[in-house]
Amino acid sequence: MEGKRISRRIAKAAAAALVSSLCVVPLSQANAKDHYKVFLNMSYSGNSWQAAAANGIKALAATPPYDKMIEFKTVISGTDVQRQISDLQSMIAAGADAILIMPLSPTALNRVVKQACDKGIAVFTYDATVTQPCAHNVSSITARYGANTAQWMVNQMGGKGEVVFNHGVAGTTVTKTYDEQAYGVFKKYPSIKIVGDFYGNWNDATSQEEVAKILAAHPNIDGIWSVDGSYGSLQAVMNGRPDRLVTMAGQSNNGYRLAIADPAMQAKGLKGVSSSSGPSVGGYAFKLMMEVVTGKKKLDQQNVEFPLPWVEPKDVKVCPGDAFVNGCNTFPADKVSALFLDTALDGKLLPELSIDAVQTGNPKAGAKIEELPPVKYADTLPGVNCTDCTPPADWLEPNLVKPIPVPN
Amino acid sequence: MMAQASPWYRRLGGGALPAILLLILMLGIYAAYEPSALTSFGISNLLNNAIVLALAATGLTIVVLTGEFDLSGAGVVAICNVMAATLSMGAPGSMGTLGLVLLAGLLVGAINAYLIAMLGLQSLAVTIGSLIVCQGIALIILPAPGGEVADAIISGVTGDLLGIPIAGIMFVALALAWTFLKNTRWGLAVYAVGADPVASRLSGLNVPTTKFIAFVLAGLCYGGAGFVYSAEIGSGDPRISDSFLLYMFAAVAIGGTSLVGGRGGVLGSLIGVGILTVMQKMLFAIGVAEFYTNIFNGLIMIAAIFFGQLSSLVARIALRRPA
Repeated sequence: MEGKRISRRIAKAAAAALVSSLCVVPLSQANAKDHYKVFLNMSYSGNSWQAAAANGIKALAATPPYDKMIEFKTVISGTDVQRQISDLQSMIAAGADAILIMPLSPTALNRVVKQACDKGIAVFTYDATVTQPCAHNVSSITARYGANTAQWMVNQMGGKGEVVFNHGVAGTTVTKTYDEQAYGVFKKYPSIKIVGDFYGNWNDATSQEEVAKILAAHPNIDGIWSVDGSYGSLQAVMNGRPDRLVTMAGQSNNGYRLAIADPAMQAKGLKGVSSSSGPSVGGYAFKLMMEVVTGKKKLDQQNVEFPLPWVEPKDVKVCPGDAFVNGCNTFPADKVSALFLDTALDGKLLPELSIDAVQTGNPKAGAKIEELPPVKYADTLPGVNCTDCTPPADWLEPNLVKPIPVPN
Repeated sequence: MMAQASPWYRRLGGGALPAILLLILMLGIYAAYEPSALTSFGISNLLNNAIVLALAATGLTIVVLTGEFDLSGAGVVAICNVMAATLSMGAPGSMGTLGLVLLAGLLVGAINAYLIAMLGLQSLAVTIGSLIVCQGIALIILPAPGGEVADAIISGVTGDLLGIPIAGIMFVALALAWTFLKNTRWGLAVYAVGADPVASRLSGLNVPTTKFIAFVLAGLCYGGAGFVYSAEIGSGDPRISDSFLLYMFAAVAIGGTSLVGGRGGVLGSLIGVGILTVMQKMLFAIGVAEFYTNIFNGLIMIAAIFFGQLSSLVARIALRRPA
């Protein structure tokens, strides 16, 4: 009988499993081992930011000496929280030493994250955060993107003009935090008028369409504030009003960086700053996590701030090769697509990566993992990276850009 | 219609036998690849992963057996989750929250029941409506993820009693409750109404009342599912159950319950829930890489439903042959 044979095989498998589970020695503290089991748990997949972040992490995990030390696995959980919880539990059960997560929710994973911590697993998140205090959040969400970019725009515009507000994705903590900061800054200058706003969903095509619509109704706009979808926003102005461009804050698409540094574009009035959270936060979180796991670094606090990328027109420096070396931060237009995120690379913190590495996940030939400089701990923001905590009194104020006085 | 001899596996809820075999096979593979699968940590995780879907699928099964559809489950789960996350730390306390959450489920179930069983409206249309309304209410109660669920609820639901996971106790309780209910007058009527409503009415069964009770019980189950979900994530999220409905129907179908009613049962759906839950664990354990996980998920689901239908096929062939 087929059924009997199957059940006998199962009985054998179950017996084998029982025996081997009895033989497994409980994992001791992760320190000073020569082999580590590391998981990358992605949630969303299929957009270029996520892909660049994941590829950077994969490339670093395959760069010496980690290629020999780490058993690395990527798991994509999708957008269902229960599946992410189930996968995280599987990673705990599989004896993970460290787990790097892109969390779907700041609160819903807290219990499973705690389970992992209790087993001595190092849990790190990148870009998005969890409020569970035993995890380490690595993110630039606390770096006041909203306040700094809005202030930079105000300064460039002399404190007056019409502004379009490009929100990100509705219902996310990032959008809520940045919006509150940017609105706060713009509101201080009565001559700054927000004439249109929309949810661009961090998407270039959506942003382009929406800016084109607003431009038709408000032909005199002077500035566009965005978090992502910046290149699309700029394209809409270049198409609709090619002789008079705008002041902008936004992402780090290669085409956008080339544009803000282009004298011909500047002559038409383009003033832009390239900032926003970059995919390199994933690679940075991975390197930091490995330094902690291998005992090279000790973190005294839960939250680490990834430095906010900040490139003004004068800072744009085109690279001759395939990597960011000697302070260069942008590629020639024929090297990568206009939408390529330059912040997928980081010359100072992630010199191990190249264009190919963040596009394919393969390590750069000859690269070796280099040690990170000391970390900067992040401010606490309740509901973002902690629960019972207070934000700094000035968390809505810019800390990179000095405000100009309000014009009369 | 009833077969005269009732072999042991028929008593397990009709078409569930192939599903049981598949579940055992998948558990075996999972355990062979993942040594910790059979530890108390592994087992209690598995039960906790499964119990939310088990409660919801139980409710859906009861409705489907009467020959109706119910899409409101995901909406009720969402409402109950945000209720638990906003109420349990306040005045109602843990038990008060449980009561209110179950009441909310009961209420939605009763509204569905009235519109469908008493007014005779189409169940698919009515419950699409109540699904959307419920999701809207959840967003009003809690517009963005947040809130907090009382520790007493979390430890009470996900902990264990005398070393046995509470989730496991709930599983057994569901199975026992159904085994009892299906042998009551109402339980027999459910099968009769689902198999042939006209004949049932002519033979004196109260078809509307039978359906009414089914929808109300289903609402209660969804409420319970939302409460347990809240305990598991410890917080509220109005969109937590957005992709839940598909899994509920998959569990029912895999468990061998006929989607046109009258055949199957809760025990089969519980097995279906087991298959869906172990599948995620098994694919992880055998190391199916990244994007392929989804493909395998789909293929196993189709296979499971195929095997689920196999038993009725075998039964039909057996009937044709004189014993």
